[in-house]
Amino acid sequence: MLAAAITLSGLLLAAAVVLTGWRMLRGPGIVDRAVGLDLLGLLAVAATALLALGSGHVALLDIAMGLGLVGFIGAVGIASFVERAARSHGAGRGGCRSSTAAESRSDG
Amino acid sequence: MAEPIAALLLVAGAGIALIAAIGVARLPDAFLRMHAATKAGLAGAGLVLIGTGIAFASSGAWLRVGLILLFLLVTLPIASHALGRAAYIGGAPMWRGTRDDLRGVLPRGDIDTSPAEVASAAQALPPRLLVVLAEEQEAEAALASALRVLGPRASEVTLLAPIPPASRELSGVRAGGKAEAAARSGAQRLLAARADLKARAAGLERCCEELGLPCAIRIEEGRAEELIAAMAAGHELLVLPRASRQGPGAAGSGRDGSAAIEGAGLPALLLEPPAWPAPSGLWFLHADDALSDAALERLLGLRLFAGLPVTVAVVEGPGAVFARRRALMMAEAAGRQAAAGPLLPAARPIPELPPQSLPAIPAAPRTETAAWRSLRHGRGPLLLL
Repeated sequence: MLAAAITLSGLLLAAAVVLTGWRMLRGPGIVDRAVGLDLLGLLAVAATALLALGSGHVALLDIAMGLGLVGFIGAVGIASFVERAARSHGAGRGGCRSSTAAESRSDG
Repeated sequence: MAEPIAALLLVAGAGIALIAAIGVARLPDAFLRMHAATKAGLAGAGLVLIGTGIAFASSGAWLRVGLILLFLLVTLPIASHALGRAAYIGGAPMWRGTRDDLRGVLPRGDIDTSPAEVASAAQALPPRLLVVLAEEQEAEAALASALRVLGPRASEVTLLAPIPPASRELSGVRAGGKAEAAARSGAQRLLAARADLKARAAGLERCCEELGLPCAIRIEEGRAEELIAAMAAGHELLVLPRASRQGPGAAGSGRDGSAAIEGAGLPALLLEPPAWPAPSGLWFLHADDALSDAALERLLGLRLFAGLPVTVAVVEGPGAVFARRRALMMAEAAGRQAAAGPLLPAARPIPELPPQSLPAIPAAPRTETAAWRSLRHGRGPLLLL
């Protein structure tokens, strides 16, 4: 019964990975891809847990822990990159006048 | 006993993870996708991990499962918060049903929007009108004139004719044989109202046909504000007559249909019967706050009124001159012809508008000044943003 559950869960996770991968390829924005990466990390954690259960090695759960860490660092890194790029990009252009005005208003 | 529970948790977790992936693939914008990915994703992975812990049933496995769960619970909200913030600041496009509560709080750039996507989205959602039929007869003349004015720029029209729900005397339980009679009269009332609205909508439909506009008629029973809120998506402007002085109009309960307008979340054009002449300009009343800036931005974004010059009048206050200058800069940045209007005292009603101009005000200002109220509850056409 457990073996069947592991197989079924693996199939469901595989379908989830395909959908997430499609979103990562499709985009359209950087953040959409980063969100896909975030979910992919979670799916990898779940899949590794299934692998550990299937093979019977508890030590494989350590990999899941590492995967979770990498996903977090990746998401935060991409987020800070996008934010910094947007701010410097906006300051250098005339088109974002209203948004900088809004920013200075909220400070005051 | 542990094995079935573990199996159930594994399959449930994987199923929820699949639902999360479907959400990421199918939801319309980055913010909603992130909502699916983090919450449902964590629930799915968490259930799979707990199932693994139960199946192993060893302290080493439980320790690792606990650590992973703790770690995910601490880091995922941080990661998703950072991603959401980056999406907002990077200017990721937002689903049109989302209300932007951060407008004016965080800056919004434009690096995460590819121009082709924005252009295709604009083509996919052409300027559509949602026209609401009123109870009074003369309102139709006003609606028809609005169709004639806005028709050339509009692409589609949805005509909504609400039938107010039966009043309590008709639908309530009655003693004896009267219940049947009440039910019958209720059904007859519905049929009569439906036929009546159909006949009146036909006039507007002919008007659409003359203009070559595709027109969909929806005759629905229900409270007008709920119907409008349910149908608002995919439309650019809500057109409805001002409520009559005698009683509640098509907009139903709520003075002047405010409930209907707030529920729709669309800019609304209020019309005063009998007819609406084509405006030659827009007259925007700025209340010197961030909400007015946001309303002006919506006004400049309305494709139905593109090309009309904008006059910006500001309510007197400490920052009024700067607000007016900011507003003019916004209009110019949008490529619109803009003129500075007068500074108006807040405590007095608006004396007089330039002829042939359409006044526009924020729908829900922070403070209702007398100047704002005189336009909102006065007479004449009005654009609520």
